[in-house]
Amino acid sequence: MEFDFPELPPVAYDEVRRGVIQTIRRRKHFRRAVWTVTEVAACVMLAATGLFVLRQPAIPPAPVSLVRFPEVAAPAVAHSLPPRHRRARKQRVAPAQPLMVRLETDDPNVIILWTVN
Amino acid sequence: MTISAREPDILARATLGDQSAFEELMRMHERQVLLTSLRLLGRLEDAQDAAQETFLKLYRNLRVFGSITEIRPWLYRVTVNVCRDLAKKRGLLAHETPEFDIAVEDGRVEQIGLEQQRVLLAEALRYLPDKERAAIVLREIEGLDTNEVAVILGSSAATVRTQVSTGRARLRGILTRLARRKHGV
Repeated sequence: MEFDFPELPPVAYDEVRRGVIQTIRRRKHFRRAVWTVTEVAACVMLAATGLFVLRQPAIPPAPVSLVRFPEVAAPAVAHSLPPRHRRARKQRVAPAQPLMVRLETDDPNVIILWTVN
Repeated sequence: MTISAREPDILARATLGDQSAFEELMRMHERQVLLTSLRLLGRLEDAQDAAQETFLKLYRNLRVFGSITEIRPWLYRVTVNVCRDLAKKRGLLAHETPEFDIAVEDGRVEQIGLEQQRVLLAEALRYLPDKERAAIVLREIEGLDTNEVAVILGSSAATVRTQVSTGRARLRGILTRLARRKHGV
């Protein structure tokens, strides 16, 4: 049994090659088209987002306070040293004034005055 | 400059997207791919479709190859697989041949002309089971080494030997029947 096959005409090979090259080109064009569409879509999205942001109503500025509070400087904290606990100072109490009670009697000429310390 | 000296350059250029280099690469392997496809499928149109699919797979996988020598066995393997898929998809292969007769009837087929023998052989190949047909085509027609065929088909050398032997016997039976039916020998 001889396995002898005839040669194929060159046109048979040409057709295969042409078909492959055409398919590769078509796929390249398709890929390029897909990229172009994607890029355009991305640009449109960006533009739309930009427009949307620009058209938002401006936020009114915060009202300016006319009352000025004195600035209180924050107490400096020594970072390196542990906090020192100071003893609370005893507040000085002003010396109490003597309390005077005035009692009036039926007799307008007599008035009793009490002084309480 | 010899072709073999240019080959690595062709692969490198084709990998970088040079279309003319890829065309040259196709020219180098087109005979192998198209004839194997034709022997596996039996019809030129189907074989051309299979060859195109095989080369497109090659184009997509060009970066896989370290050297050009790796392409040939890879192409055989892909060709066999593509042909198998295409045959299944299109229902090309007719295994329902009437009464497979493995009995050898020497002398009958040889009585018809060479051209008729070729036609009959091409037709008879279509009736072989997938693996036997692939083994016969690669081993007997393409002339590959048994070990190479085993690697391409993903089986052992012993299995390939068995497939070739059984395939030959089966083929002879089919040929005899076809010759008797068509040419009355």
